[in-house]
Amino acid sequence: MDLQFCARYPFSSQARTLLEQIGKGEPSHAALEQAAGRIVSDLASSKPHIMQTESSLQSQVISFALARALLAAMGDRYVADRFARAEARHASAHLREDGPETTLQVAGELGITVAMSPLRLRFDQYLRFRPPLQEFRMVNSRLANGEVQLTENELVRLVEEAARQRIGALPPLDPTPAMTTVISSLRRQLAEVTPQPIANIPIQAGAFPPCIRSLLESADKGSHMGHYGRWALAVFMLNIGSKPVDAAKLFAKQSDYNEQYSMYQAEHAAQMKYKMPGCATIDSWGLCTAHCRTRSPLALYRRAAGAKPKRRPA
Amino acid sequence: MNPEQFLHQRFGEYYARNQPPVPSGMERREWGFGDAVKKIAFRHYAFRTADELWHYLAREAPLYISYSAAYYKFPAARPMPKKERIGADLVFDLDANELGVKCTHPADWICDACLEKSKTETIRLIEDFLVPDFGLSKEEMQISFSGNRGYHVRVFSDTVQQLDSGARKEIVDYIAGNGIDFGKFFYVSKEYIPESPSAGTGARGPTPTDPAWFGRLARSVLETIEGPDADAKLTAAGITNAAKRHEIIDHAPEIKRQIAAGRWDAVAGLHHLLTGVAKAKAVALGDRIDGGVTGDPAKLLRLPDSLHGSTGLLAKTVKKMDSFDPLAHTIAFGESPVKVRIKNAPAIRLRDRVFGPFTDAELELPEAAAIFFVAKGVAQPC
Repeated sequence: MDLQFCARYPFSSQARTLLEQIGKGEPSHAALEQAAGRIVSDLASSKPHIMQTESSLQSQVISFALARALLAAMGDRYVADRFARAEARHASAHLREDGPETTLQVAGELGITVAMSPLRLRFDQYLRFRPPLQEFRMVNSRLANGEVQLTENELVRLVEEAARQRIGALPPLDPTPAMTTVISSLRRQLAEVTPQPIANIPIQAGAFPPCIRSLLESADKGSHMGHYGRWALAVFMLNIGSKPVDAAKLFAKQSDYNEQYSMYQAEHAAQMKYKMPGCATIDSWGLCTAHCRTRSPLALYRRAAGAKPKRRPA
Repeated sequence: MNPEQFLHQRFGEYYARNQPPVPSGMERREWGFGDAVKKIAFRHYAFRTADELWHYLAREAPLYISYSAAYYKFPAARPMPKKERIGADLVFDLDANELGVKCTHPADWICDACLEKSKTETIRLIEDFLVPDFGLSKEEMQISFSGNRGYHVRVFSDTVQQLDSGARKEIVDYIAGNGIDFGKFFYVSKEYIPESPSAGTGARGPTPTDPAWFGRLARSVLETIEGPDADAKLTAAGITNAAKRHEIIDHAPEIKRQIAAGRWDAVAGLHHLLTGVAKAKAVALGDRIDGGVTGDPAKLLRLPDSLHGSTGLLAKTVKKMDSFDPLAHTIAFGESPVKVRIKNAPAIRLRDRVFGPFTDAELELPEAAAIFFVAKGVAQPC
């Protein structure tokens, strides 16, 4: 068992095997406190850091696993996403130190099948694990015969994203009494390191249809929003007169928020003059929350805001 | 008889005798049906067997029949998340209206020119993108005429089943050339490497043999600067300055040699030219919202070999694209005369006969033509 590897990549199956060997006994209060500390430090600092070696390698693997257990029991998507992002960043910093062989090993652990010379990845895997950034747009990639060519550095970024997805996937868990105590103190500490609610929207918020209110709520809570949810919310806001910069900022609390990318998307949507889709489409995207028997969210907003309804073609 | 009743009656007769083949995993698909007002007026239907579906079609004679790209655990459940998606085909909708064809007829009419354009784009989607770039096999694709203005392409491959909507949208962007960043394609070389064919400093970029958009851009530039119509092609690609065009054309053989080695210094007006050729090489996907059909796995698409309520034509599965005639091979109804009243209608070719244009006419038409005009909403059955 390579303890160093397990500590550096605690989401790996090797690390899981190690934990199984250690056994599943009730964790001590100190171990839980250490795990909570790991979460707070991950959320407090946006910079990746190489794991300190003061504590034993084994206890690092344990603190990672217990941190995930605490997050699963907390059920706070925003905190869990931020934790997953930070831990994945640590892992990619380690990969850059450890070199290409380790990258391939960790990639394999995460279900990424890499073809060699040149490094290549099937397009479906590329799409699943590419970071949501302009530089990873597939349109600018070397895609041939169903495979995207990658540089070593790009592969590390993809492995980081795959690690983020694995770390962030938390099955719900009932907390033990010991965990409950640690969680309540953890919540207090986290309140100090998480951002303030997003700015109020300078538009008649009272007139928003239920689906938009629910999307705004997700945005405000920072709970994960899918592509369609983000698209619908941004386009709705643009359609009622928001500036692209304000629409982009709505997603500031998303764990994968990238200001540049979000701005690009919002400006693109504004430029293309995308229209808010009707209720049937919103429903088919799984975003309809109220079945309010109207034609489109925009029509409902116009009515509620007292604006003249758009004329229907004769 | 009002037009809708007339269509229902004829469609019912058709479905009593003809049973469209059902898609794979039909019992896991969501089905939707349309009436005279909406193409999908009712959805969230599920059928366990082909017989069950066929009975429904013969009984209800829907004007539009569609099924989901997605497979679900519970296809009839509502709201959508309760359906629990298992996977989804990758689907493309190419609609003549979105392809920028300048036809003189109203937008909801069709003609040989616009149908030809959607056919060429469909072929390009498959031959230029899905097969070479995405490595998808034609054996795992189904092409069908939409029944009206375009074509649908469905990819069944396992590779695409688990793609989420963001990934599907990324595929649309790839094919539509959205987000091309020329900065990724070019760089300035400051090194002098004598052995290299691209020796010397200056602008370096893709060569015609490169994969993906790299090679596509290089090849398109070469196609644009050559041939007797080079001037027109360069103008269309955005080189509005005549002197620049002439400079490019005069030096075309040299530019060709240079681009083959990845050297782009010789190409004047490069940015305009690239933007122009990228636009020409992209496939305009018929999408209201930037990939709305492809990007949405929950989308319902016309059942191949079912009737289209706006034409009465079959949404025929296409085996050989080159020889497919969407205004002949799709005709489902016969020759028996039907009397109709037409106020105003453009002409349409069906097989080798042209019907119309008509103004204030009351006449007998062969059943297939009568149904076409009624379905287009320009004729009343008498």
